[in-house]
Amino acid sequence: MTSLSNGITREKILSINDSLRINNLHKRELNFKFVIIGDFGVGKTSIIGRYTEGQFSTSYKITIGADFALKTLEWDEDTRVNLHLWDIAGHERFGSLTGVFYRHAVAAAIVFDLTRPETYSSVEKWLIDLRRKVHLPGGLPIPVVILANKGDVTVTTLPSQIEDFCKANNILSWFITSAKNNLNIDEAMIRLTNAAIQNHHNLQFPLITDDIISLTDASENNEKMKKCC
Amino acid sequence: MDNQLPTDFDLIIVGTGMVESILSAAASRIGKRVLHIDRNEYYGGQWASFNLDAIQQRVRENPICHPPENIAELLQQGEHALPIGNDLFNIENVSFNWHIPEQTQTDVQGISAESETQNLTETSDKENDPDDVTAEPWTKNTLLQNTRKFNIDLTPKLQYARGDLVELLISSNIARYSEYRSVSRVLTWLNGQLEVVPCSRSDVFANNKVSVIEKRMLMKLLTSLTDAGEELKDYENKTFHAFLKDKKLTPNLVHYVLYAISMSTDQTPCIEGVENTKMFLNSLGRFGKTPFLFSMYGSGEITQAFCRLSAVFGGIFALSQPLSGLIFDEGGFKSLLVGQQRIKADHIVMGIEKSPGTFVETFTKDYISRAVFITDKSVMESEKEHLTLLVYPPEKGKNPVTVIELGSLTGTCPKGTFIVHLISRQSTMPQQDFQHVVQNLFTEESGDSTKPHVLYSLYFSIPDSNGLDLRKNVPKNVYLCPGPDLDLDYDVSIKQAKQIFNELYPETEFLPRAPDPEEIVIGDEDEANEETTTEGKADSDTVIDELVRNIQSQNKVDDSVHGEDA
Ligand SMILES: Nc1nc2c(ncn2[C@@H]2O[C@H](COP(=O)(O)OP(=O)(O)O)[C@@H](O)[C@H]2O)c(=O)[nH]1
Ligand SMILES: [Mg+2]
Repeated sequence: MTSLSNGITREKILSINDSLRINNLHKRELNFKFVIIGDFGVGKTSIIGRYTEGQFSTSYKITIGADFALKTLEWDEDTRVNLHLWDIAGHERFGSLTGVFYRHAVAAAIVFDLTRPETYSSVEKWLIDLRRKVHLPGGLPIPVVILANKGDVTVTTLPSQIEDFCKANNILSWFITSAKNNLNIDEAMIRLTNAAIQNHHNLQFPLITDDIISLTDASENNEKMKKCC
Repeated sequence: MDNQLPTDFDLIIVGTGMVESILSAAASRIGKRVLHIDRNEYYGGQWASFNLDAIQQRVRENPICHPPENIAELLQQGEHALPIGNDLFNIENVSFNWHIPEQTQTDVQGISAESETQNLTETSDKENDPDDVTAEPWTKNTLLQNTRKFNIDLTPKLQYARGDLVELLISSNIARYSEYRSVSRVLTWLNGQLEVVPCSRSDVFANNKVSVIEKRMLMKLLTSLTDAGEELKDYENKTFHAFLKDKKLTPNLVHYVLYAISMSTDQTPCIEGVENTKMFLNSLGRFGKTPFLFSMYGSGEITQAFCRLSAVFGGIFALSQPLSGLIFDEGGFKSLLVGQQRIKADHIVMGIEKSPGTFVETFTKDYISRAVFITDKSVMESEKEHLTLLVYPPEKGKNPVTVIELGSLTGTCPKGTFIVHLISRQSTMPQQDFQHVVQNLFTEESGDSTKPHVLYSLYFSIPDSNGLDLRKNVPKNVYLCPGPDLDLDYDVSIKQAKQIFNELYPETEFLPRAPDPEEIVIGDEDEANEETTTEGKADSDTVIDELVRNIQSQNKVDDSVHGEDA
């Protein structure tokens, strides 16, 4: 299996797509679940809000009742990508995430806060939790980026070992981001989406979705649902 | 991650079993401030699912958490502290057995057993290649290398497609966290062999073991039961068995209906047997070929789905916590001790195994016998992988045994293996309770055999605390939740959770539907407008030109439907 960080070009994706698409008349939809994790207050909800709503607000409340936000990307002429961005519910903050939260995630962003360097030391804990609880269908680790957020306030606190940490732990890339100034959030998400699409082609996941039932009215009467991949 | 816990809640819940998790979701859902806490680092308690590695370590884990030595300093006047946990409602009689060698001869100098590692980058070769699992015979090492592909339930459950849980999952919108597979066949043990139980009309007619006359009889009976009323009055004090015999059914038909379809015994009252049969019939044809659903990745997912909903509605979850006691005064429960920290709440809900021993020591105990096997093939092989419910009728003084066989498509075991769960009311010890079933259906010896080879077996007993009056010995703001029950489904747990919820919060709606993501507006509209900054979008366009605005509002979250059932 090729390494995940081995950059794949847009053209390559398109040509793979082309061969797969020959008999496919409809626009293909890919549903990808991304999880956004990290310590309390580092800006996870703000990043998701910025990316999906195009807005930054300093007054985000704990988003009661919100599970995930949707972002649709018209990836190319024939592919639409629906990103399901899962926020750890505001209060799930003692590192007690359920397997249900991670289930079917195909990429992750681990966020820390440049104005509170101690949040960087939690990145490894989040990574361990993530690696323990979720894999791609074939057992490979899911692609991960690290976001050093609140880059609008300061960047001098950036830990010097971040590059080595990424290399040592199979992290795709890291970005200095700002939800406030909309810095690098698109870039980070596109990086993850690229990796997810590449894995999707290599692994042909989902592997075991046939006959899986979602308890929605639509799946009654013997119709089958394909789940988020 | 290491924030200090808040110190004031409406409700504290200790333990993450089924009833506790439902209550957690229900209380958070109506805006109560819930702390859901446990000493365990995993969700589910006695309802958890584990990988192969973890189950061997975790199955008996329930230490008693004693108050710290300086407890006197932490108490105010009139208060006293009790420990959390007791050794009366633990999992008991645990035994593991490997029936295969540790490694093959050729492997001896090769790789040693690799358990789940903390290594962040690598996974074993075997895991990377899902198709490379069937060629060689399994060894302890190769099974353990696949540890993460196992999700082994302590308490395996099925759900009736029209049972209370499925309705609750749908109506509360918790269904979005879980996926199911339909049980694809129901088997029974009849006249010394396995038989497929005809479930639906087409099954009845396809079954060549049932004569044409029997087919008519069975259809007539099943049809008449759906709206049986008057006739049943005469059977108020009689058994379902008696009712079926009076219907002049043949012995085979009585067997199918009594043991398999209605999951009854010879003693089951008629009314109950009829209710069960109706539930079975009503649940047919909603999703898949039988009335039953199994939760993908194991039954432990269901407790987690409720916990996730609770967290989404503000419930605070804290696992792996150093719980150190409960503080009471005359008025009842006051505070939970976590290390040296006091956390107060109006009410406390606990799994029975978390209760101080003094509240539960007078209870008589009943046990459920459990066995889990990893096997190399199905009890009844076929081309397509089946998810099987086998109802093994009472035999020679043995209790009936429920057998659930799961293949790799359920996400609970690697390709080329099956997980078999055995469940029965305990009468002696788990091993003895299942001996006859093992003898008839499995072999523990490797080599050529028509029967599935048991590669690994695990036996244990789970306390059944469902018949007990758990309000009896506790202060009035303390609620104990019973542990696992013998029923196939979760309806008993839902009933228990509803009952406790109604006592806690009378006249309040129990788990109303949760909104879908597109129905939620993030942030506070008014303030958001003032402080919103939308500049800085342009640079992103250089990376991918066709990135289009979020068209979320037109897009449904639900996955689209592809294909049709074969
Ligand atoms: N200056 C600045 N503040 C931010 C940024 N992102 C988030 N914040 C603020 O940090 C606080 C926590 O953000 P939130 O998104 O709720 O963090 P979460 O707990 O990780 O979801 C809020 O007050 C945000 O307004 C950023 O990029 N720059
Ligand atoms: Mg947040």
